[in-house]
Amino acid sequence: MDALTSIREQSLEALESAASEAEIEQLRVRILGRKGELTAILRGMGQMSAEERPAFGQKVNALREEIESALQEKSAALESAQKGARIKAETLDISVPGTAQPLGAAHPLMSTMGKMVKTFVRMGFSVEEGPEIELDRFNFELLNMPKNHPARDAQDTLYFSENILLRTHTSPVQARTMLKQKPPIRIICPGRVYRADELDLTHSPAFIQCEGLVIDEGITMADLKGTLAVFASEVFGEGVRLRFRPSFFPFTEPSAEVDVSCPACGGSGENCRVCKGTGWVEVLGAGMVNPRVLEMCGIDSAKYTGFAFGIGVERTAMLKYNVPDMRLFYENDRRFLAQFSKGRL
Amino acid sequence: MLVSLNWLKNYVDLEGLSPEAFEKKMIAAGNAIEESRNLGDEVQRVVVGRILKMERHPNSDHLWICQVDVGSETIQIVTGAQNMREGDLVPTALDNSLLPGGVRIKKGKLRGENSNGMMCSGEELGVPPEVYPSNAERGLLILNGEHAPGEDIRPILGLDDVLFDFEILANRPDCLSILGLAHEAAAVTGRASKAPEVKVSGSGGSIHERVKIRVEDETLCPRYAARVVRGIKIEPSPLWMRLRLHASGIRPINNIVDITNYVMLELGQPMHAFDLGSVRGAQIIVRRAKKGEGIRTLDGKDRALTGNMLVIADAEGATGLAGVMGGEGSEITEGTKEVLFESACFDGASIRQTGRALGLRTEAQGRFERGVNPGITLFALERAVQLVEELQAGEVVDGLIDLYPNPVKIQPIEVKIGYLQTLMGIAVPPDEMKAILERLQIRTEIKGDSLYCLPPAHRQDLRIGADIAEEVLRLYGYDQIPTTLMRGETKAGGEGKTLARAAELRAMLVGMGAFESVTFAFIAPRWYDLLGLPKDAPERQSARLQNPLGEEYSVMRTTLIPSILQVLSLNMSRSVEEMLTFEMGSAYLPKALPLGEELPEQRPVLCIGLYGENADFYRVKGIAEALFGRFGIEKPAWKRACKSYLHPGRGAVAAKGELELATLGEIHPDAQEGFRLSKRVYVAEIDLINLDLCAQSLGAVKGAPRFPAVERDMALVVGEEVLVGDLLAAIEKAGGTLLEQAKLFDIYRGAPVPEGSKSVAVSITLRAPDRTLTEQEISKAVEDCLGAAKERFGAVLRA
Repeated sequence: MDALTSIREQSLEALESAASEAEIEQLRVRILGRKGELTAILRGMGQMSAEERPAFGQKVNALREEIESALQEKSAALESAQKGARIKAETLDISVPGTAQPLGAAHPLMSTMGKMVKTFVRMGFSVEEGPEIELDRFNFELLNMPKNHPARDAQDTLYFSENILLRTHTSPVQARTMLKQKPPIRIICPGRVYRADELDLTHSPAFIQCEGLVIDEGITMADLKGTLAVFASEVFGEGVRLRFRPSFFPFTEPSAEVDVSCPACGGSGENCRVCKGTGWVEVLGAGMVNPRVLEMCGIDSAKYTGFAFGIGVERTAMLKYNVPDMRLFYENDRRFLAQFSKGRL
Repeated sequence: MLVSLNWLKNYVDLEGLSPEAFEKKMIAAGNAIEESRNLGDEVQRVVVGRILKMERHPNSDHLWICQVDVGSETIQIVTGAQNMREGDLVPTALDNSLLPGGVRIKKGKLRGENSNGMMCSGEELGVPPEVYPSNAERGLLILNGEHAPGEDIRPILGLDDVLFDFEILANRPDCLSILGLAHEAAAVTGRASKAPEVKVSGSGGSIHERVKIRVEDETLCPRYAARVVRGIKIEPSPLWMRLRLHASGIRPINNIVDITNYVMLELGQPMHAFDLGSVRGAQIIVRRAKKGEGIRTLDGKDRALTGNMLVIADAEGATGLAGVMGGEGSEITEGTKEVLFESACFDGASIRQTGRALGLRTEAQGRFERGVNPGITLFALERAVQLVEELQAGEVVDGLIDLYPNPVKIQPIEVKIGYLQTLMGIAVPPDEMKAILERLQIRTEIKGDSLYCLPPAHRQDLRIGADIAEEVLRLYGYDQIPTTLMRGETKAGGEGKTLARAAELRAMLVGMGAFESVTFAFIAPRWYDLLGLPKDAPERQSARLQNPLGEEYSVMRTTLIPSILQVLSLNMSRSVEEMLTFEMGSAYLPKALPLGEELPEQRPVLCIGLYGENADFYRVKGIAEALFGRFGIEKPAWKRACKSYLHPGRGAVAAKGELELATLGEIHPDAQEGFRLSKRVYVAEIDLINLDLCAQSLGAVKGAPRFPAVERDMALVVGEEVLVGDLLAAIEKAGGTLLEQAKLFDIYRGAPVPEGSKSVAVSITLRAPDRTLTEQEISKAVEDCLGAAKERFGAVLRA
């Protein structure tokens, strides 16, 4: 066995058992370094004949390349093994909960109102707002409820003085808009309203309403139905059904109470406490704007017709989220509110 | 309004229509029914029983063993009642019978003796003693008519009935009576209705000899009619009348009073009966009350009257409040000999004012307020005296007085068919409209493209075309209206600036972990005391309600801070560990008090409150700064706040020029105690109008920097009195254009920093947009910063 073969075998064997980058480096120095074994053989070539030299030189270089590439290969293998071991060691318990990112939540009344507003804005309605401390004239008189009109009884009113009150609905915003804007009018009026009702399961002295008003030529009750159908399916979900029942409001004629199929039982009424077994729940009042209201607000009732509706935001939110007690909305207990950060609204 | 179906059936033919089907039809036509009770279903297997034999119970000193004939058999029943005798007829509940309230009666043993049913008291059957008088306070109901044992008890006691509680709409006062509802039911069901037949025999004499009547105010009393009855015998009214009054929720009193109530329920005309003997001067004058006049009303209260109130007076003074309540002086008593029946129309608005002013709310008043049909005044009067004759309660004096100077003319309504069809959204054919309207007794003619309608007298609510549209539609069926989408130009809708701003702020705060609150805008004035506000504080200038629902809800808030403190207090008291909350609402700022025609300013405000582990002054300040930043408001001026409710050393006001943006800080320990807050609490109140005014739109932006920045840290020792904000501002200014930011990263107190001083560690970032900075440039900028800090604040670089 000549010296080259011996170096080859020895170095490949040593490489085989090398376990670290340092050992590989040591081996490289020992064989291929300036004072290495193979380098020494190359230097000893001077004593060879000129005929032998090229062939031998080639052999030595080939061996050198072979060893070098073996060293590299080993080094790469080692590195990849180490990386593999590290990755393995870094395995996490992915069932441990993530680092909390504390998100808050919009108030359910505000998110419900926001949803209504968005729905109507998409249908081309514009938001109008107005004062909560309001004049009797806008809250009642222009809406066909003169002083001492019995219809005022339905809206127990909180007064500051004979003529100044807390608005009992957002309709005064409609009156104000009609007085300053010519048809076509297509507005919604969301906002806080007040009545002298004691706070209980289903009543509150302060609550939120979203009213709407459309006035244009040729507006019909069928348009009202169509508009409310869009609202109901957006807010209560597709497939919800609407029912109109005749009713009375001084500012609309004809008037209707509008029911939706009960969101709790899907309208079947079976063992349903929410709709008391009827399959329907009342959500809003609506109707065609009373021509007298149009005239009082300076709009030609022979030319224009319109509809108006008023939606209770509390009632809607209670139905949508099955909230049993209206007072929960005004307590603002974090544990109640936090539920509204856990799901699409 | 409680309505007996049996009574209703006297005037409308509902043969073959089940109560359920009737209810459904009425509701669909807009006659809401709050509740219906089938009395007959509530009482089952209760029959007339005759007590054949009574024996003492061997094991009891108060129980009786009775043998009762119940028609098909004789059964033994043990009872504790004492008021019966052998031969009496009593309601008898058989084995497995049902009583109101779901009570089931089963046979059993009472102290060892078989009892196969129960003999009933009136109370057990829902028939109170004033309806069916019994000869003992607590005892069996002893039947006093001719009845056979085994007969069903229900028709005898009016229990074979269905009661509907109709919710009568404000525009339908005509439905506040059995007759009115009968007409409505007839229209809804397509059946026939009829009015009672009225015939009065009379007994001679003349009303004019007995009384003179004068109406002084025809506006407040458009019609006044009266008849006189003599030879009055006051006694209980007959059972059938008492049962009907009871079913309608009215307590029977005596024949004369019951007749007035009966006619009111049946025809909708409130009536009054005076004791004519106590009418002084045999004169009745309908006039406004005089100055200083008073009256003692039927409820025994003395009431002072004003010139706006209409009274019924005799020669000497007021004897009754017209349409509201009679006077004690002319009340019907046991000794009443002659009665004057009044049937009148009074102005609703005036009645309403009088009632409100005196704090009275009577049935008659409610009816006048909503409108009584002047067309029925006389009919009702005749009906009342007819009943007097029928009940043999007295003799009707001939003649009547009817003061009706300006009879109401019913105005015909002319309306275009096309207009009706537009309103309704459905093209109901004109013939069909006419048919529907005539069912409602509205005389209708089709002329060309219009309808001419003449409503009946009882439908005073029908005035304009839209009213006609509703009548047609509610009987045609609201469910027939199609669903369409609006035509006309579609405009882009808009959310509006206020809501958009609120949505933006809400999204930011929710992202920071805040929960939105909604609280009432009216608050307790004592909350201002809890905030420690001085007597002359502007916050105390709040609008006060005249009729609040209690002191707690009596003034309109001028700040949201107490409301937010209340929310935090509630959460703390419920052991919620931490809370970050906010509310967007209005502060109501009156321009003058008491409120005049000029309404208060409603200023939109955002209020933030927090407590818990991560809550401190700098957190609430940081939240405010983040919101300012989002609105493009850079570096507002911060000053110490001077608010009674804030900790004096931990309150701040941010302003931009003259405009105050926010007041924030830690709640004063006194206010903290006042609101029962066990932990420290931080609040911020942000003025959203000023926020908007100071807001800057985002303009042009630059690319990301391409040349490296250099950071240099410096620890500067300064006196405690130096404000870090001022120090940073000075450094920023001194650093010139190269200084990108000067950032505080630590404040250190303690050795080796001398007492009374602090070490403020600042990191400055230097950068030029177009080149890498040279060492020289960097050193110069740092030197400038240090120099300024030294010069202005005596800062020393910490070794």
